[in-house]
Amino acid sequence: MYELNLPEFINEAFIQNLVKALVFVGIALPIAAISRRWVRKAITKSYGPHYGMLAGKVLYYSLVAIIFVVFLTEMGFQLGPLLGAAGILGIAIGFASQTSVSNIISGFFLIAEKPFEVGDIITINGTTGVVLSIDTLSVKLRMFDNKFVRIPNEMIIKSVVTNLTRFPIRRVEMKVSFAYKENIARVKGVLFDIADKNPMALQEPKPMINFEAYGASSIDLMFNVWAAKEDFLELRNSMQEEIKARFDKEGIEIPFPHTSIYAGEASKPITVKIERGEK
Amino acid sequence: MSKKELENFETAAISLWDSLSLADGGSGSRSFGPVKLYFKHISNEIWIAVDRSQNESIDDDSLDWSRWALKKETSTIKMFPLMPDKQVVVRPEYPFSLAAGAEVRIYTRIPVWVGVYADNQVLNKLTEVPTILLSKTWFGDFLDGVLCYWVTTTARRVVTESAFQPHSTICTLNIKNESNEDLQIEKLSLRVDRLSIFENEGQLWTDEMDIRYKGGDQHSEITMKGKVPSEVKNAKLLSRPRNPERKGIAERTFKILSEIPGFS
Repeated sequence: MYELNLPEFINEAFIQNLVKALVFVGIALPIAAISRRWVRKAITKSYGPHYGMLAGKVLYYSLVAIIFVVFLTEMGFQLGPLLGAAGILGIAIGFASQTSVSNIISGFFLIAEKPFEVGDIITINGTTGVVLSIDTLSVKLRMFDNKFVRIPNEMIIKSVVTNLTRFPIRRVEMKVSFAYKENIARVKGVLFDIADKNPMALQEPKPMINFEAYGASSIDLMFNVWAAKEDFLELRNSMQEEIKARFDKEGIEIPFPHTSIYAGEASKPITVKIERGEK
Repeated sequence: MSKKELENFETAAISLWDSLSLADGGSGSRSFGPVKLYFKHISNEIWIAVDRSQNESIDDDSLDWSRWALKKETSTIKMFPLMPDKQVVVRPEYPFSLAAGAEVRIYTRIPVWVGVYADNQVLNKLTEVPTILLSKTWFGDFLDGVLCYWVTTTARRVVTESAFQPHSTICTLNIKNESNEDLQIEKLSLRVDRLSIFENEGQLWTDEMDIRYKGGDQHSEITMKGKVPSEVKNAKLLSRPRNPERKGIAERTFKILSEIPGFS
């Protein structure tokens, strides 16, 4: 059996190799990091942030793998037996870390299927945010209240994902209620006019009004207006303000719930007592 | 500062597009149809405010000023008319049909943007202001298309002075239906970024545009002629196109009524 004689192993040649390897790593790693940043920037400029991030990662991890192999070679290790051992170790680690492996594989599916890209706004299980990165194990989101959310890739693969910014235009849906005494055609005309005058409301696809319901206190319409995705929020807010202001101007009543109280035939009449206020 | 004081700029503006000279501490304004631009020159800074209220009495403090600190002090502000920064979809008030082989010449008004530049040997662009806030529209289907501005036109066949507006440019379109079918024009998508702007007696004109419709799914051929219509004499070039035309460009220009099923 071979006994490792440490003083014999750590001889002058070993220290020389170690210093050389460390110097190499010390120079190569920053170069890899700089290259990653540069490639990410360049690809982002031409193809968008999603591909920029992917290209940066592929380059960086490839370079790190090469640096690691060169480091081991410099240190005098033979890679053949090492890779064999790494294979066995890999199987053992694989069994022990099924969730992580599942996340990694899910990450590949996410990249290939591309349901969203870096910079998209998505909703997953009620969480809405901007995609910051699609990583090996998880997707990172920034919510609008600046919370950071990490969602495992495996969960994304199994969940319904809504991409709010995939297509260039979006529909703003507004429920508009008005009193029964109002003329529906007139109200519709006013609503179309409001949309026509709002520069963020797209002329085409045309705004649309659908009858929703005869509600408890009001007639309800669904008013749908299209906007460029970047104008979506501003249009939704401005339209609501404009509808209220215009209804006030036109004398169109926006009702609140009314309750009528009456007594049935079997019950006694409701007693009404009138009191005169003292002067 | 009152409106009267703001009006007290040093230049005697002959034309809407002449330079504006502002001494240090000076101020000025200029109206382009429904929009009015206010300027102030403070040290090496140019202050600009945009007012669309069309209110005659407006206080300096009520304006929403933006400031530009310049590398080198300048007292000259230059303004140029620019075509809108997106394509424009022009919709005739009444759709019209062009019989096979027919050719028409129509004039349409398109509001311009005001490009504001500081002039110290080289022009430094400060801002762009649309004279009219145009509505937007989508030209394409739900998955793919292009965001455009929307303009309704009477599609005049003859231009009279009643059509002249200092803040709009008149665009001349020669449309020829080279197909074997009638062309029903509901709207036209115009690449206005490829048009130059000329001035003639205070009225702005773009270069003529020839559109040849070849039918069906064929692409229409568009040619920017690079010169004003022949009836406009002594026109002066004010602005070159935002994006000069590339040769051989084919654009899908016409939108036929039945082209977008379920587009609602």
